[in-house]
Amino acid sequence: MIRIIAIKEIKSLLREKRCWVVAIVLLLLFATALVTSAVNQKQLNKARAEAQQLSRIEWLGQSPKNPHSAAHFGNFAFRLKTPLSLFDKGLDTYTGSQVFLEPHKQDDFKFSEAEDADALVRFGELTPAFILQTILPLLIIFLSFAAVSKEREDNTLRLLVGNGTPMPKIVAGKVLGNWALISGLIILFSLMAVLFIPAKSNGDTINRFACILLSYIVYAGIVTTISVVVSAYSKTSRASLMKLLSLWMLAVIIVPKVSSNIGGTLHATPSQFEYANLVQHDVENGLDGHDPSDKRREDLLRVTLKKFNVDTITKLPVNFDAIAMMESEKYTTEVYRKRIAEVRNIFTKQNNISLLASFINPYQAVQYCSMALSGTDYAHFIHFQDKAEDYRLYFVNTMNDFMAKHTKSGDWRTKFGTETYKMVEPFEYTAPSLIWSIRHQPVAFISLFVWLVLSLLFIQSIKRINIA
Amino acid sequence: MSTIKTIIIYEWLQLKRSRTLWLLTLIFSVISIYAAWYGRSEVKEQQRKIALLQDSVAVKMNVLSRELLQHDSTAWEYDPLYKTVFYNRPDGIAALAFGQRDLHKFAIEISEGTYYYNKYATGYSNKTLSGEITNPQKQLAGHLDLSFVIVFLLPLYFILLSYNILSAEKEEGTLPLLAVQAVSTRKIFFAKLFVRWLITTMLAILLLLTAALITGAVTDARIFLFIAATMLYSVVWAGVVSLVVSFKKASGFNALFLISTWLVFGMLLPAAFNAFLTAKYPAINKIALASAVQKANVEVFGIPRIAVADSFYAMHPQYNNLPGDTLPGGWYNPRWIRATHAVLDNKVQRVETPYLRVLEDRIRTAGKFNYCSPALLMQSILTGAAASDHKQIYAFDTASWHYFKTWNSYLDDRIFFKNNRFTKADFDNLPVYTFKPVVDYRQVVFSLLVLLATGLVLLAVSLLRLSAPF
Repeated sequence: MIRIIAIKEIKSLLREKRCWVVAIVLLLLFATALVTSAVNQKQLNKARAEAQQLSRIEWLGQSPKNPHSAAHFGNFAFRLKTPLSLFDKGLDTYTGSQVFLEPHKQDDFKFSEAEDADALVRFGELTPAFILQTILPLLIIFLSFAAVSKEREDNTLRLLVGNGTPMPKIVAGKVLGNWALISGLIILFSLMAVLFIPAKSNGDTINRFACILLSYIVYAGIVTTISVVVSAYSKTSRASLMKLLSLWMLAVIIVPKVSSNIGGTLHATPSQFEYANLVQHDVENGLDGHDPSDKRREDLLRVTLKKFNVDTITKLPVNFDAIAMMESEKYTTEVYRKRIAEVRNIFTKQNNISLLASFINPYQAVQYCSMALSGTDYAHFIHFQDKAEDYRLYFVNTMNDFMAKHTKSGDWRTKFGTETYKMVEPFEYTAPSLIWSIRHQPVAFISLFVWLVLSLLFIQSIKRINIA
Repeated sequence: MSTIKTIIIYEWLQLKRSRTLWLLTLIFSVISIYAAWYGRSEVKEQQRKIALLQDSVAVKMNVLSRELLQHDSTAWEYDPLYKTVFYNRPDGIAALAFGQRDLHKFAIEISEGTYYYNKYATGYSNKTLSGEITNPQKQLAGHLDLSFVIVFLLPLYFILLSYNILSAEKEEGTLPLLAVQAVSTRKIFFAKLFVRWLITTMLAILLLLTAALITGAVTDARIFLFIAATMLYSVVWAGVVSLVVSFKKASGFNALFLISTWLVFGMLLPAAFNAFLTAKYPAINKIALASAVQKANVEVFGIPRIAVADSFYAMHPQYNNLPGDTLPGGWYNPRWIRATHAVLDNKVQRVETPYLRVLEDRIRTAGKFNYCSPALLMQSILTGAAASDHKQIYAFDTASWHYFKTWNSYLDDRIFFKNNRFTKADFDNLPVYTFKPVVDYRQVVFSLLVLLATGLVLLAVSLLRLSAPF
């Protein structure tokens, strides 16, 4: 019976002009979003890849210097956009795109796209994900708000129930019919999107894309169920439409902002000034507050003298200044890691409120899933940030180590050239796998699953409905 | 006239009994109060961060002041200790329309150093110039401040109250009864629309004033601009509603069409414009800028000191009081460091200029798009009046650079290049700048007039359309 109702639902929807009009409008919007995202992705990736190469060329081409001074020339790490960022830009607009890597300090990521964008960026960005997360639910509402209420208004609901069809089956059939149609549309959109995914993409990207497709089909199923169930509970189609539009506004406009704003208000972010002061304090006084930098240096000198079995710094076969700088670099990196972990912990607490809101709002659930699968969420940004920091420590210490081994203490004048700079491998970044992405965002995937189960329960709850 | 008055009174009495009106009003009010509270907390947080920076600098400066009472300072004793804080302090009005304030720096330390290297490359030695720590997830979600409530939710409130003004009468079979009255259906429609506009506007003004009380903006005259803008924005939406109603379709159609219109103005058009601007002005210029800064930094610190001296004295001949000065000395020669910083800034400023021109072009183009959507125009009015828009952000940026130059010029005159001693009197006369946002009232008033004209045109068109019999 469910199948018969579903097929009937599909046939009646396909006969309706509004269904075609809305689908075509949506298709055009999706295509526009896809093309503009693809163009933007291509432009930025080309510029960033070129800049990364240029940074390397400039690193190798710098004039001969002592290795530590050469390290001060610095390197840039540019974050390339992931292949699926054309589908969902996620946080890319708000996270910086590049970081300058230099000795002694960890710099901030700079130049987010939002910095140069105007107020327009706050109205939303035209991406395929925006269309599927925000506009598609409206299409579903437009198509299914009268799915059951119209039958009630036309007195055909009594006939259906009178034939012995239980209400849950009627609703399930209608949900299935609408869902099948919407899923077809999503698959059509996805096929369009596949054409724009960069040709060099690997199997992981394809798997990610398949998961994104699945997530949106599940999301569409959840929204369809809610729409049809609300329609079943509403006396008139007008009431059903009003209720559903109100729910859409709450889910898409109000709740995400409120949950995020509450998170920010409850867990204040330290200012750059406070953060820098804490780092400076730790570097000067030690991570435990009782290990000042002078004392650390003295201890290191004692250990080094003992290691080389000499009694003065001048007798050392290595450059102690460089050894001290290597140790200092390791120490400051520890300090930065400790302090940045605190900031990230605050962000996690802030974001947890939005994440938990995904259990009351499927829009937020699919938003988090989509960003994670597209590689544009906060976890992916942190992953890149950590790799860039690892590279900073690597190249600075490679230079310091060379200086330690090839010069004597106090020698800052001996210069080395390109051959020495070549010892530093270029920065290369490999994005994490799909499994990693899911593991780092389990709550969103669980909440989407919970919503799927809830949808089935909603359909079952229709048993006790008044059909008059 | 008395008939119209009677219609208005009875319409109000009927609406008063509607549960929908009270429910919507309750939801709208709760969200507005929350928005005001949120705006206030954001402003307070920025104010706290500014105060923290000011206190820290004040403590250090007090120590220096006391030392200067004992003896004058010289260039060779100098370490970039003389500092001040330049800030763009948000006020109560900013709490109502927070705009782009979370995306940009709002307080910086001004001291001797290189401005552009700190700004574009690293933030080296300056703890604030490189920007604030921000949670990107929070930035993506955006603010639920009062401007958001007015721009997005006010039209929805009005639409939900008015989408079925006539269609409901038709659907319930009471329209023929209206048609036989002495007053035309058109007049009845506009009387009903007026009641709803009045309810919406009065509620919005009441909530605006409450929010102003919460945020401390009630004494700020700009609140009248907010009120005027809100009234005119409601006129535009009254025009949109009346135009849609003039097509005499069913309630369902009206609701769908109006929500779609709201979606187009509030989301799709801005998103499409943003996509266009992103494609036309891709964020790639800064990449080249950062690279140029890095190169300039290496160049200026790598070249012989005499070359730095030549460049610097060519820029500032008034300081060339030591002919043949090669800025000698050890690594820490304050004159050399100061000259190098100045030369570096000069180099980078030249690279920055074309980038800024592109940015200005983008802002100008975006400004033109505002006139294509009432939601965008309203947002620009509110953030413009609250000095939270992009123009103010760049004005602060420019002012920071000018203050930085003035500060350093003052120090150059007294510490670095005239071999004067820095006295307590010099300390007391260190330049003090306060950033005062300049609201472009002409632009705001023009935008208000555009809103008014749009609303009136829409109402006039619907008036003509509704003259045909139902």
